[in-house]
Amino acid sequence: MIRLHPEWQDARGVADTLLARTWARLVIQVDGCCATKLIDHRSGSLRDGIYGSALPLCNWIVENWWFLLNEAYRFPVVLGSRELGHERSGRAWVQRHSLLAAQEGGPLPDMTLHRDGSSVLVRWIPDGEGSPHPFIRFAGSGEVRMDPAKAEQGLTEFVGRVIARIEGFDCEEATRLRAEWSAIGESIKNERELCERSARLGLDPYSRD
Amino acid sequence: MRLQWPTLSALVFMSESHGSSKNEIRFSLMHCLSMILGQTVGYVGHPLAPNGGPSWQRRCSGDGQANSQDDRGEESVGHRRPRLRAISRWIRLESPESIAGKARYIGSAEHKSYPSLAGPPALRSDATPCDQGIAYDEIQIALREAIRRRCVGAVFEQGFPKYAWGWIEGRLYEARHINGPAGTYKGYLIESAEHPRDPDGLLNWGTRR
Repeated sequence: MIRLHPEWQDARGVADTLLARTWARLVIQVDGCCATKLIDHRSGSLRDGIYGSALPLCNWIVENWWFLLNEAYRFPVVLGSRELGHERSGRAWVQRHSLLAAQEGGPLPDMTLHRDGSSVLVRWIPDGEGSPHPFIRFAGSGEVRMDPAKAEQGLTEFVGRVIARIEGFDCEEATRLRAEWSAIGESIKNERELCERSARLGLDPYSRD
Repeated sequence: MRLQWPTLSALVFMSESHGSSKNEIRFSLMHCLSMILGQTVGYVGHPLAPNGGPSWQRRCSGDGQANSQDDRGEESVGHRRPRLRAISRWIRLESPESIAGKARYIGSAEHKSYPSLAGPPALRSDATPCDQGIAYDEIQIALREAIRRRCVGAVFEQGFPKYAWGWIEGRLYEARHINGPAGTYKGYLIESAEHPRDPDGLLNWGTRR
């Protein structure tokens, strides 16, 4: 089971009302292992949670929903997302599967979720020397296979919590997120197989391009 | 190249049915599939499926992302939306120059480790701090140049692009339209894994600096 647990925080000074509303200490746990364990070089301390907005991660999960649960790894060797992302050929995949694509100026671990046979594989690795963040280094690593239904449940709970947090906000981003989530719910009921097959091929089922 | 349903089904079945330990087989199959997807792919629905099966057709680029209009027959997925991080063709009536002239960088406290126009650095945040050596004016110029050069995504809010991408001192930054006053932005440095899709090479200007 993957569990993304936001503890909502005060966000004085954050200019964006939605980012402020979703400011949190975020802890990600996979089968009981903490994937957000990090060293903060400002204080020299080791801690489990990230301070930032949960909204970009939520937007990214919703945008890549079908890929996260259905598209397999497609490279001949296992590489970290930073290495894969340096090459244009790997970047599109990384953007669909790696939390690094959801950072928006905040730190997230190099964690990928993708289909592997009948399971969803969640893998996270520690930051190397190449990490660009000036004071945060993620320190954990792990690899967990889980039932896709469990992965779906964990992601659904997180998205649900963020959407509940922005209830009553009628700005375009909040409206868009709710509409996207609602569309996924409709697809799960009515066109699940088609969306899954499309995602397995690396094709966005909702693409209008 | 045109794929009939049995061929596509066989490929998907083969990519799913192997054991998770047979990585080489999987990678070969996925590589084969990627090569096929690198060509023009037409897909004809399952003749025995309800309503004749899905009838979408796509053209795919080498990274597996759909990049042209698909057939929106009644069996295709109903929901359509652009991806957030892809530079797309300008389809607004208002010119990029006009919108760029109204865009303002205001920053936000989560990226400030020092007192600034965005407020005091009182927030508990792990966001990447702004480089104090870069002046507000310089960031605003980069933001406006990015919009003038149409380096923006397809999603707009309050008449402004939600995301824009521009270069400062040879490094790529992402600007995010703030949920607040129209036309205001914050910005942050992004990693190569976060670079937007740029099918027309509009971002190439910054690398010459």
